Amino acid sequence: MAAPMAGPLTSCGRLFLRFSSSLLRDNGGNGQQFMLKIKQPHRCLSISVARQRQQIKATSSLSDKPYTDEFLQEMDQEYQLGRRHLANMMGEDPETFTQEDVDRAISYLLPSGLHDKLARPMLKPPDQIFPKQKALQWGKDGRPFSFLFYTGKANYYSLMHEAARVLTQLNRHEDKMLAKGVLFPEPEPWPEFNKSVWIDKTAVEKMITESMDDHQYRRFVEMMEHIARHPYAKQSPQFIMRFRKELVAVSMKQQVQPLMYDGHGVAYMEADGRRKSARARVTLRDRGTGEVTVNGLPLISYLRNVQDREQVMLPLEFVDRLDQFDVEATVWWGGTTGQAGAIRLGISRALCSFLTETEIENMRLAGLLTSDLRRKERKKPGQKKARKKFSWRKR
Amino acid sequence: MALSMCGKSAISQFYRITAPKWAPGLDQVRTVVWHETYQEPVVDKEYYRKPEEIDELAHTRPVKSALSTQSTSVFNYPEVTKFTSYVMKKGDRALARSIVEKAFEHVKRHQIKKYHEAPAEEKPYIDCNPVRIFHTAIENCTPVVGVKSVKRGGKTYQVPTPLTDNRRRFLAMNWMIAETRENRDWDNQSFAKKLASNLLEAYQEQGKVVKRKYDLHKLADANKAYGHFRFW
Repeated sequence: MAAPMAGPLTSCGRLFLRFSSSLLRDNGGNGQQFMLKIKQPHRCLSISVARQRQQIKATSSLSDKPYTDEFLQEMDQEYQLGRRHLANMMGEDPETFTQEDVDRAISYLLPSGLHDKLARPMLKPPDQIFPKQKALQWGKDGRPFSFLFYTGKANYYSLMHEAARVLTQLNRHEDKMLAKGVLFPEPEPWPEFNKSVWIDKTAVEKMITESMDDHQYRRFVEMMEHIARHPYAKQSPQFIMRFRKELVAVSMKQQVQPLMYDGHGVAYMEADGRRKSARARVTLRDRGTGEVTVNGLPLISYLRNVQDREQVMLPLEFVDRLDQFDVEATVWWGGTTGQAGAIRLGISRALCSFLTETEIENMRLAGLLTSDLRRKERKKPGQKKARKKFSWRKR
Repeated sequence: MALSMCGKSAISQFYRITAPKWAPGLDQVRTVVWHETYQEPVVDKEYYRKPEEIDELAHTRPVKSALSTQSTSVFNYPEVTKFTSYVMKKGDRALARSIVEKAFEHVKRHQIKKYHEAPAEEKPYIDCNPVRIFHTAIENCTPVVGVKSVKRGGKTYQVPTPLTDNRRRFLAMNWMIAETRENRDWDNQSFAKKLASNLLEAYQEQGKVVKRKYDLHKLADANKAYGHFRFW
């Protein structure tokens, strides 16, 4: 039982590992080479590097054919088989064995310490391993199907043509409405559009299976925005929304640490903060009186500047909890402004665990939960300071 | 400006309708750490009392860090903070702030003295709040129109133009500071004391600073014939 089970598994896992690493890196890939290897997996595994190179040279000249449907089907069958074998090995039901279970099983059965994750054994559905490739672009007579073939980027330009067609349609519709006497249509709310952004370059590239440069992407976005600004843009939502990505609320991504309790059952929370070159470690204690100690000193004697003290108290003041907490801060490096800012960030972060979601979101919108990444700008050679120039006269 | 620093790929990733058109080589390259998607922080407790008025998109975008001059303290007034920044020299904000506060103290002392000396029926009309006096004084100095120089045929014309709110505020505050610094007939006094007297004068719609506002209005009026040079 063990031998036939191990066969497909290792071949699947290893094969995918071998080819995925080469295929995922260069998007074009060489399908032919891959197919040959699939047919002779055992030779492939034991082959020397020199022989392998020879073989690639011999096969790559045949043609750059995309993966055929039959080939992908074959791979899918092999994948399903491997998945079921894994389920059996793990003693689970093969019918409900998901991809997550597959990953877990492989990391359990074939633990690997290889640094490159692509080099580790894996078993994935073929559509994840083999990148989508362009279909054959010319017929048997050698003539290209698309009239845009000789632009070199047929899919990109046909996408732009499609966009232009949509725009023409919208314009025609607008003309019709104008003829009916409608000058300005009633603006319709379009929340899906407002809550989304254009998909990025890589996503478009994946969609059209062609590479494009930044300039071409910008042209594309300009075109799409032109369409989106059209008063009747909502007439063709499918076309526009295909290239939009939904925005996710940032606050949803923030993770709040659970509260900790000391020996007396009093809740407390710890957090780090930084600003400029200063670092701070802050402990926020519930059921306090609003006392703030910094490096063992009361706040008023540690920070002599009023603005710095205001900054330290800002988060507690913002949520109206000035007298609920005791703050203990350790702060090192940096100057007074930086230290005050570091403590402010530390308090804000620790405070999150005591607050409701709305309050946390308000604090985020007030910019209290963002680490201030600004640093001193460097001095430049040939200039007096970062921006200031030497005085200079032509003659 | 923010566009240029993030490199091409970042721009393309977050391109929005409101973004200005970007052209390579036309922008100066500067180090701005915040990406253009970052929005300005709102440090104002009143703003959060009405959650339904907050733009929904605000929740989807990251926020810049609040500045160290911003605060929700009851002693914090954005206009005063702005004025302090204009008073500031070489980045010494603590000194600038102490000077402005000292000036407010002088104003307060002056008004309280006036209050006690005044007869009973006039007392309710004497304002003893220096911040309110400051706001009124600045408002009294704020110009309505300005001029902009335009070169035409080798000649420079002063063309009357409307001003933005920021520019108007800047002119008013800067005149106030400049007049205080240039005050020669009261030489041995501190800046704070001179500022206090200027504020009190402007509060009464008198003094040099208010005169400067009228001068600018007159200049704009005298040059209204050049209004057709305004191309913006």
